Amino acid sequence: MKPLNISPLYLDIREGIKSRPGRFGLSLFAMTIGMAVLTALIALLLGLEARSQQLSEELGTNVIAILPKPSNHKQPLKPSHAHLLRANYPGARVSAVRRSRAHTPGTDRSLVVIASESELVNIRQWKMIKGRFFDELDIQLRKRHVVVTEALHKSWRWDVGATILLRNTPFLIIGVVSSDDSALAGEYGDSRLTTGEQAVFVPLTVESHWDDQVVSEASIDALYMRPANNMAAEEILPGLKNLLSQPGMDLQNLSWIIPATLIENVKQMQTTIGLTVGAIAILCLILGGTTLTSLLVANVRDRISEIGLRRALGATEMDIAILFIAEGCVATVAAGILGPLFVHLVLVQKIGILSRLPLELGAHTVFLPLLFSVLLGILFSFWPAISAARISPAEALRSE
Amino acid sequence: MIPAPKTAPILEFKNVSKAYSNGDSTQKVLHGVNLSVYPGDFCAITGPSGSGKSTFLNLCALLDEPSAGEIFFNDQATSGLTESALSMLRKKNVGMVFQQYCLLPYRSVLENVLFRFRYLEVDKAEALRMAKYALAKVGMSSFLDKPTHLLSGGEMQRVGIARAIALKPRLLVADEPTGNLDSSAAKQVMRCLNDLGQQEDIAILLVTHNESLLDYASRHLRCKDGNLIEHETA
Ligand SMILES: Nc1ncnc2c1ncn2[C@@H]1O[C@H](COP(=O)(O)OP(=O)(O)OP(=O)(O)O)[C@@H](O)[C@H]1O
Ligand SMILES: [Mg+2]
Repeated sequence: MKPLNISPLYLDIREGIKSRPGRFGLSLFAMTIGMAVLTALIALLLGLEARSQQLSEELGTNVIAILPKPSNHKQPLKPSHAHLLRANYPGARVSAVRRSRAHTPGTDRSLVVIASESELVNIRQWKMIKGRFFDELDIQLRKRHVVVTEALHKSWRWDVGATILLRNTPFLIIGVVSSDDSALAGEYGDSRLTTGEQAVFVPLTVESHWDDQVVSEASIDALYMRPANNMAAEEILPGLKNLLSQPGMDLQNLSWIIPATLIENVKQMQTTIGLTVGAIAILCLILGGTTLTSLLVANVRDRISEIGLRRALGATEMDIAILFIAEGCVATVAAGILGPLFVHLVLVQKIGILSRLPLELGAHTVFLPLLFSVLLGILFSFWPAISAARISPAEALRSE
Repeated sequence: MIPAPKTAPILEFKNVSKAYSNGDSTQKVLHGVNLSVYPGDFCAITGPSGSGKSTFLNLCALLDEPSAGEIFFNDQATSGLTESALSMLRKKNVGMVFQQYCLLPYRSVLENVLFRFRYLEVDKAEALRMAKYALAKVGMSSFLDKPTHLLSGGEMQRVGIARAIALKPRLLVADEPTGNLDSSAAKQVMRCLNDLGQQEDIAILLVTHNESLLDYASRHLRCKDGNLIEHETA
């Protein structure tokens, strides 16, 4: 005895699909590609959204970073500009930053040394894990104090109270800071804004005997500023630009970066990707959908007497409509499972350029395509289903 | 003579008319039909092509609605009923047999008969029992797992009949069920229907062009000029 079936819906659907496997396959194929592209699109847009969030958090809310343009070989920024900003924007926190590199004896690694003023930690809104950041007094007294990153604290067991050597100069560790900024280092950030994991912070005023290259004490690499709480970075930016472009300051070639600038780049990327990838997804889905509709229309025509039989056996118009809508949904939902599955498998493998894109996989990339596929199934099978339901049973049986 | 009514009629036509309108012209197919069908009646309907036999059967099976008049099914007026109420009445009480059998080709004999319960809520085991009983009645018990497209015409029609009677109907309508069969297969089908009608007290309405099959019926209705005329049976 074969397993008993009182013809539940799935048996009906299986028959409908079996009757035109070629067209069903074509429709499924196009839909699956469409759904895969759609899944990638969702993952990418969500990833970019998260990335822009992360970027603005890592730069610090309401922070203005002023850097020379990369093409600028002169080092136009000077510590005095920091004083100028402080004088003109009372209540603002300002810090000049100079980057250099140093070898530490006993390791073959070279560290990034960030020489800054005491406010940097407050501007960037970094958390102190241990100890403290250097203060005004350290700056004035040119103390050889150093603050290390959490990564160094963990991997090299550098702790508060220990002394480290930057080349030959001993420095006392006074604090451990959490300064994670991996997103800023990435594609949409600005590497000049990053500190990285292997970084130490020293007072700006300490002479840099650790760098092989001659570092001019008179110039700095960047200025960071956080306006007083009642002022927004966007609002004071024009005034700030005016201030630093006065004649004789020689400061034309500067990049001005605020969280909104970083986000702007990502948003532009989102729009571009949304439009291009979205168009591809929509094209594939429309192609698959119209194939599906024509498949169902042909199915309805072929199965008129079956529709008549069903009506004779008590099926209502609704039952008939549901039958064809369910058939349509099987194709789209199958695509809504296969497409995302394919994307997830490929992305988990981290192949090629996909691994460099900020893609975010999760419940969204599973359930959104699935939900969408159900809606598409209903959309593209609605018309054939309604036309099937409208056929009067007497006429359907007449066409035997 | 018309047999004296033993019970209430299962189906009653009162002044029923049916017209089809195509565009601006209307075609009157049936007009003023008055008729009562009782449980156990085996009515054979004959008449020229296009005279309205199929139209009449569709009205009987509640698949279509009359243009005028009233059809009573089991003493219940059907004109005011909703689509779902008509479906309900039809699926519980009416069995249908078709000239082209209307079997689902990919399914076995048993599955085709079980299809009778597709839109009913029936316990699976119970449905299986009824389907097998119906197949036994038409002598098809040995073909349960055979795909229907491999059957002969007569066998297919017996499966069609088994499907129609799997849930014991009050009324069985059959539109030229023997139209595609040779005379011996046709006679077998008629005998089968005749037995069923008598044993199960089912009212049967059957359209046929074959005058030689009229002997199996208890009543003979002739469809002519938009009406059904009762003929004396031999
Ligand atoms: N849906 C419809 N629309 C318009 N006209 C119809 C429709 N159904 C049937 N007719 C017409 O009604 C008339 C009766 O048709 P019906 O099918 O009832 O005849 P019949 O007696 O069953 O004929 P046959 O013996 O050839 O099967 C025919 O002239 C047919 O053209
Ligand atoms: Mg006919």
